[in-house]
Amino acid sequence: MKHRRVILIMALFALISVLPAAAGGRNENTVGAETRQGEGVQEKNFVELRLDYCRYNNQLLENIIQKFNITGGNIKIIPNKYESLDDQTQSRRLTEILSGDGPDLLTEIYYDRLLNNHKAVTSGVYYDMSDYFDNDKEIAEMDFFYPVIDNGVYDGKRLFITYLFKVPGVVTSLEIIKKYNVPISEELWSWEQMQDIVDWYLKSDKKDEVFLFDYYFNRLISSSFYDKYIDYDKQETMFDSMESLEYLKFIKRIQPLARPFDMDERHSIWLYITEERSLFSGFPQVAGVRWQQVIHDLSKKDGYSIDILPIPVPGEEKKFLYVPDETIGISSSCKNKEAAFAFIKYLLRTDVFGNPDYNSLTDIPVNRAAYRILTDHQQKDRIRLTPLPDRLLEKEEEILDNLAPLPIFDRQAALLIRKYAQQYFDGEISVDEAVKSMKDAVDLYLGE
Amino acid sequence: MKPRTKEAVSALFFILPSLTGFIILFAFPFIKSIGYCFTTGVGRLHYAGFSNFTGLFSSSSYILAVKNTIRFNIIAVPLIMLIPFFLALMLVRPFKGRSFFHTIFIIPLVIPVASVVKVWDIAFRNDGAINKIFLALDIPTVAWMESSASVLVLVLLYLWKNIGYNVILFQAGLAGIAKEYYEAARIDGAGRIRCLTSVTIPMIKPAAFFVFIISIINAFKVFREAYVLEGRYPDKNIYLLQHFMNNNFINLNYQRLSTAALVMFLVIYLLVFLLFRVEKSFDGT
Repeated sequence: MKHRRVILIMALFALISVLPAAAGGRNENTVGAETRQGEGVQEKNFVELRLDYCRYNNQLLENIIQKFNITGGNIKIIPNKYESLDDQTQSRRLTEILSGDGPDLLTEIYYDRLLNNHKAVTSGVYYDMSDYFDNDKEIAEMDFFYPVIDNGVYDGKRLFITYLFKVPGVVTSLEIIKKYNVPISEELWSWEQMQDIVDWYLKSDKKDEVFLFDYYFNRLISSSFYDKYIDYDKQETMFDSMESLEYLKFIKRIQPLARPFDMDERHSIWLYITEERSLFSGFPQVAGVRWQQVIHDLSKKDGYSIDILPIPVPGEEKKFLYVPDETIGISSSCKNKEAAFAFIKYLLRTDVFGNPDYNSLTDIPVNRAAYRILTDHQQKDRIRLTPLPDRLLEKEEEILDNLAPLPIFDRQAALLIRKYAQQYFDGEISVDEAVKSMKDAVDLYLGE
Repeated sequence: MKPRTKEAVSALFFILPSLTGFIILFAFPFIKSIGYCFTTGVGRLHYAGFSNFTGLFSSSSYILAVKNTIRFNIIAVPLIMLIPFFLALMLVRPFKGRSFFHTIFIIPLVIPVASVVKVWDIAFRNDGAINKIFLALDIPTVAWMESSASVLVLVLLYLWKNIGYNVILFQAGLAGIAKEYYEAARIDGAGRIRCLTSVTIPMIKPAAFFVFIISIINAFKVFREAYVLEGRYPDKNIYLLQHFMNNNFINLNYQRLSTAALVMFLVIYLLVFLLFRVEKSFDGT
């Protein structure tokens, strides 16, 4: 009898241990129509959607969510702020997403993406929102920056949308250009024209006086284009193509021409411009209202005639690099996808970012009309700011009209490629060995 | 309650904690992963038939990983059987300094993998110690970890790490052979070689069988060293099945990972089953 009791207790213990795992307990706050009851609050049916975002996303998203929750009818976004991007947090988030218990809306920051490779993105984590996007009349009338709006389209499926982006580039001043007789036209440069400047610099005696580039520019140029040589559809790599070889050789050539990283200076372009530390200095943005303010300040304080140049894309005739900074997509396990898309649509609306409250926005909204409102407001704010010269406004417009389709973002492939590229830059292996190793490694990755 | 039933119930009671752990941590995930083999999607799964299996067998990286794993086993397992066997034969007799050799063989087992691999990295990287010696001797250097030589490095590392363990197992097996067998053989005029082939080898078969199984299992575990040495994507000659599975885990392709794991389980199960049958047939003779 005693035995039986003990066995029964042990069996119950075992059952209790197994059941939660077997049930795969779903987070009840995630989705679904729920009734919100509170002190004195009238009962109302809400569709609650969970959205996770990192505190590094600043207050922007939080403000937008607050506004949406007031005006969004029966849809309520439940923001869930996580504090850090450390491995433990990311691992927990990933587990939640894969088990179907993750957020309904997946937001990502470009440089710290959780779903950071092509395979993860296309694994089925994201819901294909093409039908919602393509058949929405309001969206059809919106004016977007292309190809930024299509950045999250993989194999015909619209998996995520980039709602904010950056255009990195270089800054210089007309004074520096004149002083050092840099043979550069007033137009935006192509990849070949940039190479010509490098050739000029190497032949000139200027290299004893001033660096050509800086660390940040070097990093942008060295890391932005490797993915161009991967064809995900055919599962092939083209690292042994002439263009790829030339690209690698060029990057190796410019390594010693860039001023090394200095922790104290970061992106303080005042130092670069006023102290002439390099002829061209990389900067995270050469477009956008925040950038315009920087130029206003520079021109106003020091009287410098700032010039901007984007990052040209190799193999393209005057196409320029952009970075999709913040993206949003619908989780495939979201129960109310229509409501989730309503929030994404809200993020794309002209009046959301086209609001003078965002006159210090670091990024550029993907809605072109919204950006125009911000720029116009900035130009009219003459009391606080000096108007931007027309030549810079025209340049910015031209850059934004000629953004290159971004190669598929794939951190894993990039890591493999950079490993061998670095060995080549350091002189450990030849360019042919580097290319072969890149091909072998990325082919393995693609074939998995 | 009958005494036998009572005994069985008591036994069940004692193994229940371990059984619970086994069910939660092994059996349930394993059954769930079998389910993954026939589904697609994340969160909400959809039945996919055998498409995960066809996808797996058409994956160039999987085929390469299978080939490399088989090749590694074919090269390394016979070596890890033969070398420790002869070392055990030498060490089984008492001689001065025997305990020193025992220590030498045991040390690799207790050194943490990361530090072992660091030493091997220093020795075999492009600008490592071995290449420096080659340079000093005017011998062309070798890209050890970025060519087919990487297999050799991995085999050496596997041998170095596991020889001691197998030596101990063989020594235990040799110690279990009664001296009378040797004495009888010598009386019948058998020499050393004949004693080895007619007494030692037949008598050590059960221990050798165990060593063989353990060696195969350890050969699969060599991924750990390969991973610490060369990361997720090593030279294509040492890209093993565990690389494939580990990478698919990181790339969120749980369906492919589960399918590869199930296929591997079935192959190992079949292999062990066949080996036991072979062992049984030996026992019969």
